Amino acid sequence: MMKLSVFASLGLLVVAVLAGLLAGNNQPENITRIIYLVRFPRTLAALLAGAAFAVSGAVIQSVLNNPLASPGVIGLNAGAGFGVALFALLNGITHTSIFSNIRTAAFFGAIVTVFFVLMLAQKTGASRTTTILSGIAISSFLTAGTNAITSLRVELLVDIKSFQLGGISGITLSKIFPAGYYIIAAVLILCVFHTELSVLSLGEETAQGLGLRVNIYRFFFLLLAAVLAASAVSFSGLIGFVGLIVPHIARRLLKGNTLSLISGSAVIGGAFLTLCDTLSRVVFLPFEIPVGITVAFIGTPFFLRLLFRRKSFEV
Amino acid sequence: MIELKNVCFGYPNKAVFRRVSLRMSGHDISFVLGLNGSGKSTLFKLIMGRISPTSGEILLNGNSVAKMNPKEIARNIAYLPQTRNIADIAVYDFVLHGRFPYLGYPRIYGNNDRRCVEKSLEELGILDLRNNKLKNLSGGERQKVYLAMILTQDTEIVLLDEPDVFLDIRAKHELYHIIKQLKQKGKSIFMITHDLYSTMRYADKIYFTENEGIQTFNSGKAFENSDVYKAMQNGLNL
Repeated sequence: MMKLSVFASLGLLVVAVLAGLLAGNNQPENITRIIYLVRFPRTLAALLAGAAFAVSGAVIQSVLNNPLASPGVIGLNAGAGFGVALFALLNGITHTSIFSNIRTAAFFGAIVTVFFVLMLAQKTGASRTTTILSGIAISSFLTAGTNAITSLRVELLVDIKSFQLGGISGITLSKIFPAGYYIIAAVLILCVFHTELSVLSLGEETAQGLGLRVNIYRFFFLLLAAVLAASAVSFSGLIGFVGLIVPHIARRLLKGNTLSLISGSAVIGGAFLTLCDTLSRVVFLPFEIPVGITVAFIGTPFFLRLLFRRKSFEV
Repeated sequence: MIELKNVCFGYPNKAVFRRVSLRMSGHDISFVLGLNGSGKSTLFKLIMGRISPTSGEILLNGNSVAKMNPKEIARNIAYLPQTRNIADIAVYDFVLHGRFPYLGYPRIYGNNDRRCVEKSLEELGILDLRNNKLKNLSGGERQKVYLAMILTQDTEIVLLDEPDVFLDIRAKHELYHIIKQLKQKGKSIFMITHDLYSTMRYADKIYFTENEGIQTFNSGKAFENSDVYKAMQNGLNL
């Protein structure tokens, strides 16, 4: 049964990649250039971003032991949003900014915020609850900051809104990297430390009893999750939901240990976002809709079906 | 052997232990009793090095706990906490984590670890549950799985923090049967409980936490004849 699920996941990945490369308006005279210059970077971006959001969500859910947790819980979305708003504001006022571009602003906004949330949580006991509460508090503060900027400078609203909707249209390889390398490195590190992640998910008391340095590893894993999601946000914008639902799908389908959760989330997350992006691109040709919208439209019914088929919600 | 030397510890506005010196030894079943907040769980946390005494020293087989790393402590002491997450994990994988303190590079559990798991599951009669998810088990079955992990951890000392709470009579009976098995294997078992009946029936030694100190009773009989026991029987006014 598990082998079947593994093959199904890999099959889904192959289908998603082929669809990403081949679906759409194929003009014979330009098809090679279109695939190489447009669709290949876009498919790669979708694969990496989907994998990053999903693995990040899986790690955060495991570490915080909360099935509703996603990168947004530790302040990532609010941090990235505020970084972008700050960039737009500074760039609009002075035409120079502390950030080299909007992607860097999103990345650093997210990383700095998550780091601050984790430090705050460490100072106040580093429990799962304090981490979540710190994330909520800092997120509220930064969201208020972003709203204040858009209220005062209405002309920035379109740029910020389009970032918040998420999308990888018009992406090039130079925009994906070096963030793409961070994603690959973080996933590999997680695969190496999967046993520690599994022990941590048993709960603080049990993990400490087994000799795990809980506070250090909790910080380490949440920081890796933040690097993953912030890297993806830097080139794809805020694509929510993938980080929430894909880990649940991976758990249901693969039923294995933490290593299979990480690798399964990466494969399914990448395939899912690639399929959603392809649909966003081809369904309303010649127009496109932001991939974040497609993710929610497709992900919600699929997730609910999975949920009700088993009747009970398993973490 | 665990030794406390002039240990003092307290939380803000509350002293828990004041200059406590104590030797906890012997391959037997020791019960730790006391009122809520008298320091039973704190004693376990101190022994495991999870909190440090404000003064004094705790020794584990002659070595200072403060100088040992967490994995080294976990190779000597297995601990069953009172509050536990019910993780989304198969029984076999859960019990396998009992070998975590022994895990070295390349960070993969080996055949010896897996043999330990099989043996523990077999000894506790739960081999057939190996592929079940922990969260799908009954309270009694889950308790056996936790004890299987402790067996797999293969330590000399076992600390159990209220393992009998929420168990029905049958599960409790099975629990004590397993604890006796652990004793026969030569382990030193320290168990926090509020169950006086089981204490009198199974205890080789009793440690009673009260008034910022710990009293030791070397048999159930000695405890039964003490003022503490009489006070407990009369609704407690220590």
